[in-house]
Amino acid sequence: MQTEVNVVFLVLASALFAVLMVAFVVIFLYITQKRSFKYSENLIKIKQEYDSAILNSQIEVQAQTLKEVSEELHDNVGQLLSSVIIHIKVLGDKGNSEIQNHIEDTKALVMDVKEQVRHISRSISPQHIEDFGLWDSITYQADRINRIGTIKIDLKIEGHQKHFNPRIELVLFRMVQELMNNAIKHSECENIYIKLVYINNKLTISVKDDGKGFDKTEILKNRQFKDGSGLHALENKAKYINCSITFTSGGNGTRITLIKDFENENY
Amino acid sequence: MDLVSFYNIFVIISAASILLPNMGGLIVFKRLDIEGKKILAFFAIFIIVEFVITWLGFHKINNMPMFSIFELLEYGFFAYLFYTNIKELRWKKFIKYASFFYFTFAIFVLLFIRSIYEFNSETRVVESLLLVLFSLLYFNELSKALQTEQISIKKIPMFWMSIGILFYFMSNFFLFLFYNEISKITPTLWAIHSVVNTAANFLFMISFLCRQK
Repeated sequence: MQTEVNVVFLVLASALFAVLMVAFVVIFLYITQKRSFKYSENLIKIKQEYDSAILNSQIEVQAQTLKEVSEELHDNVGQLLSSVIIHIKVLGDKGNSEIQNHIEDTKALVMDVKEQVRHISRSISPQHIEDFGLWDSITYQADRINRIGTIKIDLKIEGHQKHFNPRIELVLFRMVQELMNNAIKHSECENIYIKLVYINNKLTISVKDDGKGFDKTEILKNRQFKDGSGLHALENKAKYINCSITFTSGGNGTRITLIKDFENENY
Repeated sequence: MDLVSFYNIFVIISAASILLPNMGGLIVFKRLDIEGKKILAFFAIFIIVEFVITWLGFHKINNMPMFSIFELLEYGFFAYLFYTNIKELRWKKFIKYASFFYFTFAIFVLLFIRSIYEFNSETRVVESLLLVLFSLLYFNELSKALQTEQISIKKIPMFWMSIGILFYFMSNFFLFLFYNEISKITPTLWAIHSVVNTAANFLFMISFLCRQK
């Protein structure tokens, strides 16, 4: 009788022990998994913060460099060109009538160069973008390209224009500038359509071209090469200012849409 | 309802529960890789074995010879699963040598200690010990992997298989050890095996279903 009780007890105890053992294993593995997930999440967060800080300093360095280049172009090169024009004028006064026409042509060319330098200086100056806002800066840039005449840029605005955080507007402007340059350099397009839509505190910018289009996956595959790095940089900038970016590309051209919600931004 | 009828219901449910992993396997059949299809094939063989064993049992025909063969097949199948899923080389070697030892021991017991017509307690106990050990080795490796990789354990088929194996063989350890005594004094205690077997088959079914999207 005693043996029977002992055996029954042992069998039941082992079954109970097995249940506890399984529960222990499952709980232990679950906790390990949770810890691992948390650790990975923290790692991703740290990496994102690090990337953001790097991008921020890159943008600051770029802004500072462009500011210096812009000032240099405006103050030094502009002044030098003004001096050249004065000298040409003096030469014209002294020269005979045979070379008069050449001198006039040269003067016109130098004045044109001076004008171009002034435009470049303005378009790269962060201060100019901050002072005039996103829409005017894009308009200025588009006018400059339209004047060259090879590609036509069509600009449209919907809603009431607003001025948001200048730091974010500067990044948005650089992105639009990059998109225009990409279209001109790679798409073989004839027209670029840029539309800015202001609805409440949301700004949607679409940049569309009628070029040959591209395969985003193929380009991003070559990210280590120059082709993909531009797109990657655009995506990074978008992430940095918390703006969504979508690419649609095919035989009819490429459309890139940027959507920035300024609702929670300090502006 | 008397205790024996109650026990018989448990036995029938337990035997039928082998259909659970097979159903699970068929539900996700399209998503099964070669490894998954091999496991499903084993469980399909188990249906036949389980059916024959239960049928013989109900007709008071000694089913122990069939059970002895099934035991070897079962060990081979589970040991193979651990062998393929455990990555560390020394533990793979351990499983290989342990399996060689197990099969030698099982044949020795069959030839010299127990008749093929009685329950092979010793072999079953060694099988339980080894498979519990293998599952713990697997969990140890899994816990290490979890520290470096982002894996969701509930989506790992082998995790559910190992839980089922650990639960089944640990719960039944003393039942296997004292089977010959129990069958004389309280045969209905085998109902514990039926409950545990049903639960293990349920866990094996999850090992298939966890592959669903």
